[in-house]
Amino acid sequence: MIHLRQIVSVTMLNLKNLPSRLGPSLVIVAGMAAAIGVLMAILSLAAGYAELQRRTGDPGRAIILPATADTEGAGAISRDALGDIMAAPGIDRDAKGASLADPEYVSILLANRRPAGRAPGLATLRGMGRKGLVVRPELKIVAGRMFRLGARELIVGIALQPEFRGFDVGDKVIMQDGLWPIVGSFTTGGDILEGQIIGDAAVLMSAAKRNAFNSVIVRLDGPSGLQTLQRALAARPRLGVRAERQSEYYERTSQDTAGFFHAVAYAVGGIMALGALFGALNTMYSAVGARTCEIATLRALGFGGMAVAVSVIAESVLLALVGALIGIGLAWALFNGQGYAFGEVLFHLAVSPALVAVGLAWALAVALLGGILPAIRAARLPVVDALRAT
Amino acid sequence: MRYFPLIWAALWRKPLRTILTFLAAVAAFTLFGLAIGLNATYSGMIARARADRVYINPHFLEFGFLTRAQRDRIARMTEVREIGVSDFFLGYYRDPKNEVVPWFLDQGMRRAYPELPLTPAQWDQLQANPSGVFLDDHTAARLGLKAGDNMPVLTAAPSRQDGSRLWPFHVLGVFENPPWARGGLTLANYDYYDRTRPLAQAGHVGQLTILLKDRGDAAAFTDRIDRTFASSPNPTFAVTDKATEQNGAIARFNIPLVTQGVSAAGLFMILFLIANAIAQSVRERVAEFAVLKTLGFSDAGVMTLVFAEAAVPCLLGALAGFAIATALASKIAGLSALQKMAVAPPTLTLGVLAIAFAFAALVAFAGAAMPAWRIRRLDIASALRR
Repeated sequence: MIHLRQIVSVTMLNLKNLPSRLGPSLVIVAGMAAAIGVLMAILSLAAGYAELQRRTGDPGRAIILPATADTEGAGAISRDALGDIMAAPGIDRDAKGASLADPEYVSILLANRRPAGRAPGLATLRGMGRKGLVVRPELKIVAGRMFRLGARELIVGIALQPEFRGFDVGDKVIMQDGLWPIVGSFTTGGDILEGQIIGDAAVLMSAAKRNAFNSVIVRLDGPSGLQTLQRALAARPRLGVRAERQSEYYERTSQDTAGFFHAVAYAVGGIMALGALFGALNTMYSAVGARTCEIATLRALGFGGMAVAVSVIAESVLLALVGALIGIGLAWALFNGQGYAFGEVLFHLAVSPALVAVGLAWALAVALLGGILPAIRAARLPVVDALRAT
Repeated sequence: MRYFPLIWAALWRKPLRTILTFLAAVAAFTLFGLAIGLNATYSGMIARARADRVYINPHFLEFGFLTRAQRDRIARMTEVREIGVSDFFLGYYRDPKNEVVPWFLDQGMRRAYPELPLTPAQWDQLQANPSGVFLDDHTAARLGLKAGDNMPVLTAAPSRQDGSRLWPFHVLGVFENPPWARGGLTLANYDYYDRTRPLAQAGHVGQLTILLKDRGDAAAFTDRIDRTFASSPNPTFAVTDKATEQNGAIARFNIPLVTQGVSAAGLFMILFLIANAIAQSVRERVAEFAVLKTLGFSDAGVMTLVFAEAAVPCLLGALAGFAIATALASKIAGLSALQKMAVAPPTLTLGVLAIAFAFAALVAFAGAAMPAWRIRRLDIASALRR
């Protein structure tokens, strides 16, 4: 108990003295702010990207792809196979018994970015069928109207419009054999489709002279729906298709990119943190140096080495956390919610609570590492010599 | 130079402080080197782009295509000096891991894309041997092939008239990998490809490469091409070479923004460190500076001492950071994850080192400005009394 009281009183004394060591303290604060700010900024890419994929993948849905295709872009499902696939058990049905499945078609087109003069980019063009809105009920028209089935019309996601020119409602897009009007814009509550262009799959495929769909999106019939569906498809190997839970599909296909963002963030953040660590060590050693007389006096009065050491570490932790919070705040103010285009995927950067926890944990680790050696030195100061040091 | 012993002595007065400052500078400049080196890579790519070159792509990358008829029509346009035809497919050699992307070129590419590292004799050889290919040394090493070897390539879907998926290429020669083609090059014969693929696809063209007579025309020309072929079965999307290279640089990441942000954060971090270290050092040695001034050192002289004391760990840190960044860059160049993401590794040119030195000096100068000013204004009499 006496130990605890000693620790508290020495730490409080030390923190009250902090303003007199403002310059050196700023080194830790600025260093941590810069390191954690950079870490947060790059991690916000990974978090935003992961969040987009998470929102797109609905565990109540499955995507059916050819067994040989890893992604929907590589998929080709012929019209012949479609009837059998849609009739498979495990797929949810509406009141009339029609299966809640929608074959989709996916393609990529080149488009001009905003503002004029920027290099062109890629945009995903997705074709849906008559069950599209039932399978994807999150799709809501916010301006104009839905495309009509069988018509050469397109609707555009609200995340795509600020990124590319020529995709406002009323604009016409150059398509195969003519111009197609954009009749509406839509939101999906922030999933991947919001950065895409959508039209009638059958019309798009006839324009593209293609005869194969890329995938079939289905609503699953209850929790065991996926298993039933997978078993049914596996029992008919001639169809050559497999079903995957949509949430797992997006998790799998985004792994490489998310991993890449993480690797960059931790490599860059790691080097920054190392720099901040050297700064923290420097500051804490000089803090101990400046307090030599004070520490010796405390020791002479009977305070333990432990209390002195803890006060040093507490100072380092406090300064680092202040710096980290500044860095997190800056990253949040500058980047949170910013739109970003990675290839044809559009998403928003996110400084999420999980990221804040990571940032604070890093700051804590650096502060402990930076405080522990100076703390040991402080605890071991020979009292008699140190008293003479003035 | 005669100041050097003084600076050296000052630096080693508190060795721990100097070493920690140096190490922090090393960390900051390692990042700085990697970031600015990455910038150098991409600005090099953009600078390499020719102002008089335009590429014409199908508007729909997946299902679209251009035709020989379009090529002939464009070739007759008055702006066009050279026009080349190319196409490609994805296949593999022996094992699906060994991806091969043959780039089929017609003889027009000889002049429309003179950067291609084939000699005139090799171009003639390619024309005379339809199923021959030239590989760069990276690709040849990856596939374990040399000149004279057979190189059967399988495609995912049937891609030949006879319904087969197998293309029996053979290697005509190996050339040195040009740095602009990091992914490697497999150069093949377009006429052979066109003759051999399914009849329904005969005469299709993947991309047209054009050199213009007048280099000022490129942007207007791309607009004209796209307008001409809108509402046709084969709408085009023409882009200038500059825009294509910029696309590589910023479509995936806004490289300049990210690299400048990271570099600035690193410099900001050490700015405080340097400023604090030099301020402390000067504060501890006020009497020493007073003695120097008494001995006749000029104001400029003592200020130089202060600046130099701040600059030495910074400049050495910049040098060491540059060396580490160079080593790291050559390590990460080989990472498959980076190649998958089509991110080029940083190029640590002497220009990058010069920029690093300039910023190191700037940080040292900014950090030491206040203490140096204090020493200049130092009142000798009162300082000596302390």
